[in-house]
Amino acid sequence: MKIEQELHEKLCAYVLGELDGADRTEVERELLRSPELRAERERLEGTIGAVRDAMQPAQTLTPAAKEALERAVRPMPIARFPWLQLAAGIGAVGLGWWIFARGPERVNDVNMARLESDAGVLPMSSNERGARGIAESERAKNEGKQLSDAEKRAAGKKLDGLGYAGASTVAKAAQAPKEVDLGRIEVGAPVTIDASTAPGLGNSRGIRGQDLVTDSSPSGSKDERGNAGVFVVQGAGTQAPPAEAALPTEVARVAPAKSEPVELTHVSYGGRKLSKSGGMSSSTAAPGASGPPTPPGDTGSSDRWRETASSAPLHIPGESTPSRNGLATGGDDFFAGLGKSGQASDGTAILGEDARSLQALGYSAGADGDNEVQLRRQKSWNELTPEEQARTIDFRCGTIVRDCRPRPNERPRDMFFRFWGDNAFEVTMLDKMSTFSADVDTASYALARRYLNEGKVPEKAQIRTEEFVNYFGSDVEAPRNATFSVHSDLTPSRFSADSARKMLRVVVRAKDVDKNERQPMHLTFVVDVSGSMKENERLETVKHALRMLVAQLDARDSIALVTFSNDAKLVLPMTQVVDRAAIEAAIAPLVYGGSTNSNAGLQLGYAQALLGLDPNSVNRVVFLSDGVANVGETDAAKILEGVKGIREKGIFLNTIGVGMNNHNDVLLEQLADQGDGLCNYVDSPKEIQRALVDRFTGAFQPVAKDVKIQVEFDSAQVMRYRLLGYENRAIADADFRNDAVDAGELGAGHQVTALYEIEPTGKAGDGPMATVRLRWKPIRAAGVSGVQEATEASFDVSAKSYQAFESSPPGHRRALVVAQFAEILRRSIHARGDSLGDLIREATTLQAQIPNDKDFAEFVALVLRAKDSILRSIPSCDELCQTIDSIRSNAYLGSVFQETGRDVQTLQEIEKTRRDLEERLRNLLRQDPAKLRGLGYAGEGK
Amino acid sequence: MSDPSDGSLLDAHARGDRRAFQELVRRHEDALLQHARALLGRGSGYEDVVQEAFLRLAQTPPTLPDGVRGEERAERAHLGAWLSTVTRNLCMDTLRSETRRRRREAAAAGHEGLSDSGQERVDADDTREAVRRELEKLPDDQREVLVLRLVAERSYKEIAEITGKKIGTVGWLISVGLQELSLRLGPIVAVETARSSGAVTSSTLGTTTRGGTR
Repeated sequence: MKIEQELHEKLCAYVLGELDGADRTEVERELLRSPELRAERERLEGTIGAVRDAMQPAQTLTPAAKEALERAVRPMPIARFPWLQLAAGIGAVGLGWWIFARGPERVNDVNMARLESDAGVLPMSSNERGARGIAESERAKNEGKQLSDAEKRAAGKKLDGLGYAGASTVAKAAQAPKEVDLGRIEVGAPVTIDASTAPGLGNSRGIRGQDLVTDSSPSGSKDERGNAGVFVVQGAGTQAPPAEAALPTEVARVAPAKSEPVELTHVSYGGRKLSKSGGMSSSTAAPGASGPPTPPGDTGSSDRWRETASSAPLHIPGESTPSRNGLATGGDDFFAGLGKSGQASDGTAILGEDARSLQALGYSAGADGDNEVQLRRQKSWNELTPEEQARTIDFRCGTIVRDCRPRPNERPRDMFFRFWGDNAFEVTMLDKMSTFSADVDTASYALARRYLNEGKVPEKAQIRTEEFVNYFGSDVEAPRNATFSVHSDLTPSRFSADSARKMLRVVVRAKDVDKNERQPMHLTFVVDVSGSMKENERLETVKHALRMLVAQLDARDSIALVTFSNDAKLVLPMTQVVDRAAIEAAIAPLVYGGSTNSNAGLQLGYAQALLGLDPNSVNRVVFLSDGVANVGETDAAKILEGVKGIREKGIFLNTIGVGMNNHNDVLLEQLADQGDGLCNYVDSPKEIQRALVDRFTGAFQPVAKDVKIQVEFDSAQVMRYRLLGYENRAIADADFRNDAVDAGELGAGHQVTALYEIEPTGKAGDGPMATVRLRWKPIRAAGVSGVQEATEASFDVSAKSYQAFESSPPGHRRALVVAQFAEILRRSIHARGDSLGDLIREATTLQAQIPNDKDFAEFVALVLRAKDSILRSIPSCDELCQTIDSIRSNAYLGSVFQETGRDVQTLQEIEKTRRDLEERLRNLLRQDPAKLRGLGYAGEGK
Repeated sequence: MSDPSDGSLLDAHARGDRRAFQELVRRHEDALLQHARALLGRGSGYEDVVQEAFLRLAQTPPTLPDGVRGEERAERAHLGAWLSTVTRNLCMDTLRSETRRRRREAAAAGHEGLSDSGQERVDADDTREAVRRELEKLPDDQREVLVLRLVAERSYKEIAEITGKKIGTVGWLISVGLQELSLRLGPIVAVETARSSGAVTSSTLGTTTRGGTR
């Protein structure tokens, strides 16, 4: 399936580490949605690796060339000028001294030692401790014993960069099929399946024996010859796929290789029989003779398999859609179509289940001009010469290791994010400011809740910790006279067994606006009435939301209604909310049908909003859709660009998403992010009530826009800090005062929470531990254009410090519990080793203390219900995985040290450790090449 | 790294330190040689071009701008880009020159001749050769951009500056080039990675090359 060119460019840039911000988010989301895109990414990574590898070894100028160069580059004749010689001498010495003394202020050794031990890299003793910790936990896991939470946390902590999930994790059973030698079919030689030859006759050997493929097919059926048949790939010809046929039930059975290779001669499936052609069976004559590779187009090859009996029609299990030439097709990719039919290009259909079995046998498939299936067999491990084996391991190691090197101009924090997808701990001395855009969207939590309720676990990129935390209502008192108040709490951290670590909660609270005191509203509703709104009664949900919203309005307010499908239509021009019957008459008849031209809808909506613009009201466009735009401009930035002039007159945006199955949240989120607005998801009347009615003023009455938050830490008191969440909301520190940079909008009553995990230095300081700066633009009357001045306010964080977590206010504990849940759910590296059971206990205790908090009660119930699926989804970390993590930690540490400036010896140790780790990786792979299979290694922040 | 930055090596060179210059050569020669080779093709005397580029560095080195000075990575990137640009310009001069062109064509033909006559190793497992061959078949600008990115590790922005193209064009060239390579290298990459990982890899289908890898 062809990927759109523009998206492919972005994908390439993403794979090469060149993408940032909104583009990167977009690609990540597309990757979540699209298996074709994921397959293409793998393809790209393979190609990129091959090219890089092919360019080894590094080229150098020949010695002769270098000599010639040197001669040409004549240095100044020093001898003639003794004073010059002296200067040169000093220069040389100076250079040497410079090497050793360079670097900015050094972080002191004690602290660095802690950094090192946390990263699990150096020194040896902490590794040993860590290794013992792993060993213990692994043993306990294997024995089914439950480690105590403290033990687990201790093990987890020691291996900051290494680790594994709690002992209650169910490790996914490795599903690697066994390696079996199949015979002497050359790598790359085409093999087509042919008529069957009875096994045991003539020179061919029968097939019997062990199962190869694992879970999908039951074993035990035999064909009429009494041989367990094997499945297979069907030469497709030009037959149309059948409607029904028997499900494949056969399993590939091949005798395990002992000393001689077994020849695969007989293959049958579902009534079709295929075997190697008789005739020129030179390959069957002499086992052991390799023979030259078959030249292309050689139809006489004895390695050809052809179908003889055509009986049962082709069966395509799983999803299949008709292709161009009438054959069933599925994914583009032979191996990726597990459970679905895969299609070889050139229109050959391959049976899905069989694909997996084939793969286990080591076949890949292609097609030649005759539309016969050609199987190409990969050599099994044992067939490779030792040199080839070594080369393969090197190749794979090289790929992994290359991925763990810094990219051009890559900062340590970016490297950390690339490896693990989480924010790194920042060393305060290197970067004391944490700057981000305020975010009160709550979509991530609502979506995740939906997934979990359906027994699924959301992908990492979908889980935004800050949106989880900000979903819950405010617990801090509203400011009375100012727009914002800032509040903070400090308690021991829940994330690690390191008792020195603390959690700082910074809360920015916007002022309340009573419903009666709010501004009048001029709302232009833009409603998606396309065909996709039919599913799950999305349009009905939207109508309900409309009605609930209108019920909040009164004679102060006016609304307009625009609908769109193929194009946009004005249903109700801006009308005062007085004649409710007329409004209902506009809403009730809405029906779905047609495609989705969001751009047209928004264009018309904004135009109407402009027509009805009232300087004394809040003017908003409210966009309700399932987000699946497929006609016209579909890029959020471009859509908003089209209405930029109108927006700048002061028109805000709300996007309300409905439908959770194939809805597309990317567009709605990006529209809200870039269009001065808020995004909500409403999947039920309950959520509509909560988001649009209970929090009406929050959603519709803005109190500040372009809100940026900057927290500056005192390096004397705070050694390191890490911000939980806001990965996509980061703003360059320097841009904090750049008023052209867009940031979030806050509505009445909103509370924005930022959580920091802190490592204190242990020393007291003169001033506050941190300072919070807020920068925002006040809401001005609509209709006024031009760049607006921002206001800034600064607040000292003199956090109330609680000795015990349990004695802190419920709001603080609630925030931490929810945040930890989000981090566990997203498999954050910082939550490794954390216990979900422990979290649940804490949450339940807390819930008993705040029984009126319905949202939190729902949260606790959700966690309980989803506990098992969450635990199953947490991957366990074997030695290979740990080694790779160590390599990454080492690379990251090296990068940090380069920034902080370290002595030569430390850097050399890092270098040495890296080599040792790479060697360890190689050894692990050499000892157990089967591990190479399990390496679903992509290196992009999994 | 405890090693001196490129900027300090340049300074040292200016003071007559020969080892500093040698170190600079050592650091940058691979990227430049790969770049020049990508532009001119093998056997075309591309080494001479790189030598010339280093000569220019020695005689009229660039001054590192203020924003770059002092930051090791930025210095490296800046110098690398300067050297790449010089190399590229020299290559362009070479390409325009008649004599060289004739020589290059002869070399290319010779190369072709080798594979036809079968003297070159036909071993299917020689992946590197295969990859290099496919790379050479790409259009010049795609090949150059890919080499600059994947070998010299230049950022899109740097590539744009070096080649004088727009960043968008760079992205497009990379995308198209990679797609083409993926298609042609499909079977080769699959054999390598499947052999090593045995697991899911894409493009294992010998689509374009009928009969696949040999």
